[in-house]
Amino acid sequence: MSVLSYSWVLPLLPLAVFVFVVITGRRTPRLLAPVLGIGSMAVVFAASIAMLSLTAAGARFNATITWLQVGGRAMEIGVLVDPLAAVMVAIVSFVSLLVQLYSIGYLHGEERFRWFFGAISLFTASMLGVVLSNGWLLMYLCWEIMGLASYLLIGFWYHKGAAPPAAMKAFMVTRAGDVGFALGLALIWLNAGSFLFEDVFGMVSTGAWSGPSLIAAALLLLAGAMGKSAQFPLHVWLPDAMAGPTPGSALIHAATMVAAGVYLIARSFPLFEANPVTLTVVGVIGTITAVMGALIALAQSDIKKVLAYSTISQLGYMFMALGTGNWIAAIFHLMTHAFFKALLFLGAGSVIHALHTQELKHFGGLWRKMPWTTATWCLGALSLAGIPPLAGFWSKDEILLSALHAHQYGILAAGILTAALTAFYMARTTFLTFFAAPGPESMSSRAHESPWMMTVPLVVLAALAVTVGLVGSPLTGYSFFGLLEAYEMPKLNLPLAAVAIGVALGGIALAWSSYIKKLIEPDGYLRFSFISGTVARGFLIDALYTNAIVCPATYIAGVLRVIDGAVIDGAVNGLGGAGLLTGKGLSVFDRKGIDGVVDGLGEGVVDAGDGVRRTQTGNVQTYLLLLVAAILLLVVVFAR
Amino acid sequence: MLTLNHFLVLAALLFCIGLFGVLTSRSALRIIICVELLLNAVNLNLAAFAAYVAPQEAVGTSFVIFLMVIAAAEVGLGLALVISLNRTSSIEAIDTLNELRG
Amino acid sequence: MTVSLVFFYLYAAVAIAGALGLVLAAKLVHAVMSLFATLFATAALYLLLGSEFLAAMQLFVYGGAVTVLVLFVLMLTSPTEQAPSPTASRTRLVAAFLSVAFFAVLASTVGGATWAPLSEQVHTTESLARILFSRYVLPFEVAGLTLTIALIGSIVLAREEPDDDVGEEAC
Repeated sequence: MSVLSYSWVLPLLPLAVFVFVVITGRRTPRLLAPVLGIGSMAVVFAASIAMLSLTAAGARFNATITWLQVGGRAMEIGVLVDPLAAVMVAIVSFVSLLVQLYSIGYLHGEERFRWFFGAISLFTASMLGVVLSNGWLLMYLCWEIMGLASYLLIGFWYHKGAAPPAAMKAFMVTRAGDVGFALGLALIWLNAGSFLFEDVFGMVSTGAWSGPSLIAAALLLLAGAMGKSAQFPLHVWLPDAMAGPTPGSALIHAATMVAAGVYLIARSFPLFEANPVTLTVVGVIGTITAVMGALIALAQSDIKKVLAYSTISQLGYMFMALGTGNWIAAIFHLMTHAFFKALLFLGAGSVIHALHTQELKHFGGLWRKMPWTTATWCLGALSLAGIPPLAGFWSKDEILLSALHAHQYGILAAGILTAALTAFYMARTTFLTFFAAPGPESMSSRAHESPWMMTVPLVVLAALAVTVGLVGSPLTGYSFFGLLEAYEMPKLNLPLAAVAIGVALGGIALAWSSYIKKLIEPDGYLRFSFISGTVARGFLIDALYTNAIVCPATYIAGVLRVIDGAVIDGAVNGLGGAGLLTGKGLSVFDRKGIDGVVDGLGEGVVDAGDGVRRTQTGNVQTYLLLLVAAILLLVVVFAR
Repeated sequence: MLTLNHFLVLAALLFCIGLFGVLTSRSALRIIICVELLLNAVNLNLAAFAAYVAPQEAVGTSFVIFLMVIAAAEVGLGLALVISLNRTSSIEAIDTLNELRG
Repeated sequence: MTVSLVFFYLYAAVAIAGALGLVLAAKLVHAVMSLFATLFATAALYLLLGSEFLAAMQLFVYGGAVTVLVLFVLMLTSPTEQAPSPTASRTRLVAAFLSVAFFAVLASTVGGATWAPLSEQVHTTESLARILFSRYVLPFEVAGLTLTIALIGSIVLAREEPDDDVGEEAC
């Protein structure tokens, strides 16, 4: 028994912190909750380093217990530790650790200070559960807990107007995808008779399970991943989720929730690989999302919204990588993105903390006041823009390279376009926030540098955002790909890299000439009503949902409520009365001929209404009576 | 010969009498004791099955024990409800309670 | 006709009479007493099934605790049953029909099946204890917890003055 056999403890540590916070409430010293949360994360991170070194040496751990015995078949859950799981545990625990350290400074005056760390711990626990499970069943359970935790985090400031609807939206939209996940689970169980990866993958590789049901199962899993990873058209929750505290956003958008969808597909990759059509669907969705997110990010005036759409766009990038069949590149980009996006969110949080506003027009020239924030932010932004040798360059290059190798030129073109757009909007945001001369509405004079609890995580993340990409570069012999057992090592394609660097530099230069040198009118493109109207509002997808789903549903609900309220005394009686009236009118009108029939019709309606009314007595015993009658009927009909 | 069917029919009869009581009683208290009768009939079934079908293992018997625990919990809660109902609204006839009326 | 069959019919008659009395008795006190008769007869039937532990438990839990509890509540609330409401007779008719139909379905199902005869080797209290404290030890603990929670719930429900500030602070 290796030490890996204790890895099932890891998700339980933050879970215990959550339970502790819930039970003790305000009775503990204020700093105990963060200390416990950070302590548990430190333990998990240390363990993940051990896991990484052990799995790199070839160790694996896979243990299963029977959770339920259903009809002679066992539903099994268990723990799987392999390099992929170890990498994910390391990312999740490290980002969570830094986010919690940062939150001590960010939320220092907050009333529900302890609760925040409880929610973060629950969130992290569920994500660790997702990445350590060895089957879809346990993964789904943790997945749903994560949905709950995201609801708690986004709705943290529940007294603020925007937070509760945003929390509910995140919950409902991801739920729409989760329905797909649940149906996919059912299909897997039906066809493979097991929820364990190894069993199902074995059946898929031997051809014991193939055909349309496999495609359907993969697409249903994809629906779940699209919900959590905010892929078009289920991306609408993510920008709204900015209503939560910024450190929470950093955790949601960097390392946990949105990563879960990418991880799900990477983990289930044999299911997708078996049919090219499913991979194509993944690639198309990723391409649409990447380009769309980057376009919307161009037109945002809120620093967190820019980052939110940037996250959507970068997740689309990861899906593009999955679509080209290179899941390792997707996980690589997930890792680098986790570090530089967490850095950017925390940097934005530092600015927001200083100025208490999120609007870009209120910023400007902050680099004098906030040197640490500025320096670290710039490293993160350059990394995201794909400037070598920062982390983002290597992972982005890898995705473009795999598109080239897979001859997916559409994805390749979209990837280069997105890279250019990304460089431009990140440069725009950076210049407007830190370097451009403060505008008339700027509040930068009030700015101050954040306390060390907030800048230390920034520095650490910046160091990682610079260096972490090297593990997937030729300088270290692509050790990341070796760890995850890539079939073929990527090779640096210099022309492609040159193009990527060129478009990134071009985007930055364009932004520089526009926002610093004012050679081009800053934000001039926003004068096009299509961009400021349609694009800035997320291509109106939200409005579409509001009009196509929410409004009709609300309307139907309202109508049903009126009907329901009136059905007893109003609608049914009214119908009966109307019938009677009609009957009477008709009988007056045609008394000679058919008055009997008409009267009968009217009275029949009255009687029917009366009969229906009687079933709604409000008396539980009557309901019970009907229940027993129904059971009896079912038994007689079906138990033959 | 005393067979399993004897017990099953008796249990069914007791169950149906209890069901009739639950459906028709106007007193909350009587409904609760009728529910006890229902559970009792089920218990009899379980004990009979245990004795006839799998006498080596006491699985059915252990289920009876669990059911007794649940029944005790149920009767405790139910009676507490009767008391609080009696205090708050002094309503004893259950069919006058129609808050669920649509 | 064996001796056990004679005893079975005797106990069954008591149980059925008690059940009918429970449903039909005009006074609630009589209903509770009828319940006691049924429970007692059931305990005797458990003995007939060779399960003396169950019989003892039946007497302790049902015959003792539950019946006494019901009688206490009866005393505390001193309810008076109203006259049946106008629609009651029809409800009773429907309920009676349903109950009889239910019984008919159950009995016909049972009658169609054949089972092994009662084996001589009767399970003992010891085997029950063995299974309760080994395979079912977790459900056993959960059942105990359930009972505790139900008791706390009963106390909260039946308390004289409901406290308004129970939920001290929502974290």
